[in-house]
Amino acid sequence: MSEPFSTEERARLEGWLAAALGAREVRVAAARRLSGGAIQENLALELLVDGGPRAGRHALVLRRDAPSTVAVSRSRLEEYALLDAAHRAGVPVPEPWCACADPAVLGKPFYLMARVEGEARGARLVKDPVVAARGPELAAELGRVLARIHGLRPPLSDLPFLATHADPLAARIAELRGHLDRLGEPQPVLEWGLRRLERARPGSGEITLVHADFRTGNLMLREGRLVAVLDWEFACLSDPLEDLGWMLAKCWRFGAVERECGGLGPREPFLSAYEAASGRRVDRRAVRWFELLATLRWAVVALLQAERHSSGRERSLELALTAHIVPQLEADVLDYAALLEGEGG
Amino acid sequence: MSLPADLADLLLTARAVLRERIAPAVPAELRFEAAMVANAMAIAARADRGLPGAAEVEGLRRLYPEAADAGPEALRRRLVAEIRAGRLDATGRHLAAHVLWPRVRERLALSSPEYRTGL
Repeated sequence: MSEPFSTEERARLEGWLAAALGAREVRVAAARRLSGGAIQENLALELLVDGGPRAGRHALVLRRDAPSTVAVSRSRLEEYALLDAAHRAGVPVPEPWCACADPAVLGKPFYLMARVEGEARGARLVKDPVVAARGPELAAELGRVLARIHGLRPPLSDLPFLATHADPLAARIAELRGHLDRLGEPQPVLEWGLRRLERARPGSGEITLVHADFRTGNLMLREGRLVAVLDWEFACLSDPLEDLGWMLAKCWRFGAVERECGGLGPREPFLSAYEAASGRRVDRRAVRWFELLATLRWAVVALLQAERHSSGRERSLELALTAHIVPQLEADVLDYAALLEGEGG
Repeated sequence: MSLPADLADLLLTARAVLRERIAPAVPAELRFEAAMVANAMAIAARADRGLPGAAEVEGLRRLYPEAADAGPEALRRRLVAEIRAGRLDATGRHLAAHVLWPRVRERLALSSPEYRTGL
């Protein structure tokens, strides 16, 4: 693994940070790459800050676009603005520190945030007995945190880049069909699911900030408690029920299918705590519709990831294997579609 | 089309060496990679039972008996267009039973035969 910075980059970063943090001097005492993030590069930094309000030693994360960037997600600066808005709203997130738009410093825009200790890997969390013992309380905690995120409603003047759709669910369906068309291979099961969604759109009728990737894997836990919501790159304005469906969909339970809230806890405490904290009544049948939407969205993303490999743009075993998740998602699509059909919803 | 049995056996034998001899000695940061390689070999070896498509295409041929000359891809394209246009809304149960589930079961048999369907 090569050094994350050249000597010149490190010096430029230290100079920029000293100015941004109002310090006499900043030294990067250690820097190493963290795993994860096919689109972003995440670096763990140890900073020694001399002088100014942040004086001391700090463990931070620097996020910048990976060298081979695929322009599908938000820019790092937009992501920083989202993190900052969530932080100010009281959502547990890594504390945002500062963002740099100037590509002359590190080649690409980047930002820094506090490094939060904990475990986010789904495969580990669903096997953790502490998590299992706290399942209902943890699910309720997740419901309350989502309610807090959904308390951010437009107009959000700090987040001017968020597009507003009059009908965000129709836009979502059109977006998924557009991806399928571009990929070119006919997908009858996914099309059947999309058509099922289109035929009866429940929706809450509300539009709020949604995280749009709120699930096990993006939630940092410590001793069975949520300490940070990570990965804000897909956040957008949409129907708040989208986040509930994404959290509850069968495909994000990491094998612990009986714990319907992300393999971590039961469904009902999650929904009732969300209702109590948000003041919204949640139609349980509508949530199932959003679970089908979640399954379809993940299936399309999986196809897009697999195509990055098969096209030769980015050869990767992990991306190649993602294609083999799609049949499971297709099975879930048919199960959800039959459930919605049976309920006449 | 399928993978000849001796080639599938070659893959499974190599996979056993990977899992039993090599994987325990692999450093922690490469364990995920080792597991992915073993998974990829298992998927490829299952191709000895045939590749997905036969049951789905049979269902499509029954759905479109007049299109005897059309290939699987053309039949799927027609199905997708009709689903999207809403022309098959009333046939849900039949379509799921005779085309969509057969497609999914064949694909699961290759990619993840252990997957438990049902919500």
